[in-house]
Amino acid sequence: MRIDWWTIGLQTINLVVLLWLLGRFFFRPMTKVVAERRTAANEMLDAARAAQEKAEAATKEAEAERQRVAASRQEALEAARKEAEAQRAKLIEAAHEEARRERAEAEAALDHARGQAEAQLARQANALAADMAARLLEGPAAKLPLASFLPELEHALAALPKATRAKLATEAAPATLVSARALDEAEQQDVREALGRALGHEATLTYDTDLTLIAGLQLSGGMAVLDVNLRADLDRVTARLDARDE
Amino acid sequence: MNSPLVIEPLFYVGPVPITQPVVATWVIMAVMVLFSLLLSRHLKPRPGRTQAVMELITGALDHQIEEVVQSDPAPYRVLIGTIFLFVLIANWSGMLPGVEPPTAHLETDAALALLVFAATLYHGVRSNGFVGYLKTFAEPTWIMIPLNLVEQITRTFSLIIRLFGNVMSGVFVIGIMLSLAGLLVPIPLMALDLLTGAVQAYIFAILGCVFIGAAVSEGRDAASQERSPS
Amino acid sequence: MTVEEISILSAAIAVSFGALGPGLGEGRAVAAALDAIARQPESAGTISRTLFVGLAMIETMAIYCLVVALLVLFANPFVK
Repeated sequence: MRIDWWTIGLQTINLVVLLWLLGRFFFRPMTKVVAERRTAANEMLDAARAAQEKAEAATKEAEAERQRVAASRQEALEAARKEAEAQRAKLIEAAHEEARRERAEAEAALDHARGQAEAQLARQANALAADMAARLLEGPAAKLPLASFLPELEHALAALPKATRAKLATEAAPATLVSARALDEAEQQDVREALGRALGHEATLTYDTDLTLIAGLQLSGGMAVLDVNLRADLDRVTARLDARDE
Repeated sequence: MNSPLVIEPLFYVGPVPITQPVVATWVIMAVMVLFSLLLSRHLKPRPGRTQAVMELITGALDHQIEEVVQSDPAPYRVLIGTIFLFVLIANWSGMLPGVEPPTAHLETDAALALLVFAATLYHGVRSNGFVGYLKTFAEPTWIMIPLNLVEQITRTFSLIIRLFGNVMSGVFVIGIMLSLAGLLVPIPLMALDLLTGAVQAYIFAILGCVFIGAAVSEGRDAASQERSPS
Repeated sequence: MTVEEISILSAAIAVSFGALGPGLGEGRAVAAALDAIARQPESAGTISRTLFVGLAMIETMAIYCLVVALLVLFANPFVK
């Protein structure tokens, strides 16, 4: 048995050299690449975590946004509902108002119509009264003397303006004297005299009869018509009654 | 039959006899360094197949060292890793025809154990200080000082003898089988040698790690010190 | 009986007894380790690592015997 010390020494040197070489060319690059990859992986993990956090935040924000939108939608719905209710109330109010107004109008129209009908009735009643008065007066009034109307005719003529009076019943433009019954010669004479007195000149007259006058005279000539008869009185009374009834 | 305890020099460089294990070690060194150069030139963040295997091995080494030493594996990685890889390749180099593993000779194993012994001293002094490391020999009492000193020597020798005996016996048995039967018969024994070689490489590295870890942690935590086997 | 014959005999005895004790010890160690792994599968890594180291320790005894046998056979100091 022999220990080869040279071999032990050589092998030790060999191993130390191998130690250095492997440490330099094998373990250091391996460790470096592993560490680099770990760093890269950590970075990626960090980035992924950050991205995830961001995504979660975005999700949360979207959720909040959704809730906000839902709330605003709810709000809008509520407002719309309220507005619709207000609108409806207003419409109902307006409809009520309209109905009230129409009813009032209808009532007014009804009142008006009734008033008109009443006026009509009153006018008819007046006309009837006048008619009845005329019928009643027909008999007795025909017997009234002419003289009872003449002063009134003179009086009416006196109320006319002078120019009109001067042109009335001239020869150039004779006036027409209408009476309820035919006048005889004497009566015509009386009338002419009375007119001449009232007009201040000779009266030229034509004569006519009209039963509707009931009693009295009507003088028409030029622009003037003078009524001194019961018909005219009745008409005046009727008109005054109508005016009162209106 | 040649004695496995004796090696004949192949040639002389001046007065220095160059023996077969030295030449085999040189070849293994060249192969390992060339391989690591090629690998480190093509290191990528996204590993290829070879790089992935190498990263797996270094990662497993780191894990084992960390579990044994109970601290950061970085200071021990190069030593333990180199010893493991070298012993593994040296043990398996016996499978090549005409090559005798360098670890089948006492001298190579002695050099390896010497390296581990020096690393134990270095790391013990580095982590505890010189006086602190000397004090660890007086644990638990001063009576233990001779025993601890003897333990340092014997466990280094046991490292040598264990590796030498295992690898050499494998080579020896295969030689005997070859001389008896020849073709195909030694193949199961060679397969067993592969297993033994891997296990012995692992055990050598782990024991070195245990020794270093004990030297580092003895002063730090006397209660949980690992009694190193002799 | 020559020294060579005694050497061969003693080498055989050394290896046989050197294999006997570690064989028994390793069997007990593996049985205990399997038991422990069966009880606590989660610590299988630590247990198997310690088992390997322990087996290597035990096996060292057999290797010592083998080395002694080799010494007796190839480096016998009594053989001239």
